[in-house]
Amino acid sequence: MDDTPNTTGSNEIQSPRILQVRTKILKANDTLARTLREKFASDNVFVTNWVSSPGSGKTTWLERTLKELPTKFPTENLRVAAIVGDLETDRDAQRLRRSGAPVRQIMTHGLCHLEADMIEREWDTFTPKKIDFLFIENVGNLVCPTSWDLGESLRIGLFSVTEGEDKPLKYPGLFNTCDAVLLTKIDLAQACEFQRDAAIANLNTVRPGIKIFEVSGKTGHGMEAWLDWLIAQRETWQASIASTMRAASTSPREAT
Amino acid sequence: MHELSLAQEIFNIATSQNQKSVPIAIGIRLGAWSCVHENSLRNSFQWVAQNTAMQETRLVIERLQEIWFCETCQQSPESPKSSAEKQLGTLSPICPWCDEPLRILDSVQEMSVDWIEYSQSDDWNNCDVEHNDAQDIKNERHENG
Repeated sequence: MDDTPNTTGSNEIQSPRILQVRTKILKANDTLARTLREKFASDNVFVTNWVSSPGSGKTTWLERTLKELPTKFPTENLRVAAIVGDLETDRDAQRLRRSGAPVRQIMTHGLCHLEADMIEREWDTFTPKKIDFLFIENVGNLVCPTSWDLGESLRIGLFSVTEGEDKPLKYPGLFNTCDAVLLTKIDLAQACEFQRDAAIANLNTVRPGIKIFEVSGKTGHGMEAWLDWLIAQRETWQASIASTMRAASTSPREAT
Repeated sequence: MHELSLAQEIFNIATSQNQKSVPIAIGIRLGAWSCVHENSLRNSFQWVAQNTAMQETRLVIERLQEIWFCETCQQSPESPKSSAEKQLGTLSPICPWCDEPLRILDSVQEMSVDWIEYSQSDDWNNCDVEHNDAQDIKNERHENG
């Protein structure tokens, strides 16, 4: 293909043979996700997006998190909420509501991931929006949710000891985008002959230095460290927003 | 499955370029870990573009190789190095110079429309088939699900 003589970077109507576009395929989703992120920051809502294969224990661990986060820090008066995505049924939402938290179920009817506009629609149904932590449980899938930014502050990956320690190597794209990983069903590790060190090494292969928690939804193992980390991450996020706002408010004066 | 959503977005991008002529090819760049199946993306695009002016438009897909980077040495090891094999399943991304873990560059997740090639003669307005409203398709999908 001859793409040099008639190449142009302009979007004007001039019938070019080759137009350099250089646009992200998911630009529309990314733009909406950025707007959502700003909205969440404005509302002081710390959002995490949970991704994993089906059956990794997302819902069990999330139910415990929704229940135990506010009770572990009673003086903080923390308000938690969740949005959960599945192809069909609202079974997960029903389970999560047992925690007492407000929960919205998205049924995708075949779509293999959540998108930012779905989150926007569900977020609009939360009234009032006095929520400190919003947890998004994505559709169980280790491929498709990788590319869709939902406006979250952190992406949390989960994989269970029953899935095998090489899961991060098989699905590097997803684990590469995660900020932290929950190694779930750790109470079954011995029965599964799970090679813990290999799993951690594999995670560090696809995302060097990633934060890893070994947890059990059945016993509650790892919950305290997980909740402490969540609180610390939110504080870091809030400090970052405050810093950004200060910079934004001072920059015009500096310019003059 | 998510390739259908991507195909829809590619269609939207192509239709929003404000050009007189019909695209005959669209250049797509996919990172090594973008989790996109090329044939599935092509098939999905055909489905999205059917009965529109772009039903003959083809996707030209460039698959990008992953690039590792050493924060300590501030450079990327040349490929292939035995300590930085690129084949999935045998990943061992250790810097061959300092033995520190390598970081993979963000381009590994890239998914972009790089260029669009237009015919010189065709005109959107002269096409026999009507242009599908891309947003309608998306709205229909949401209404159904």
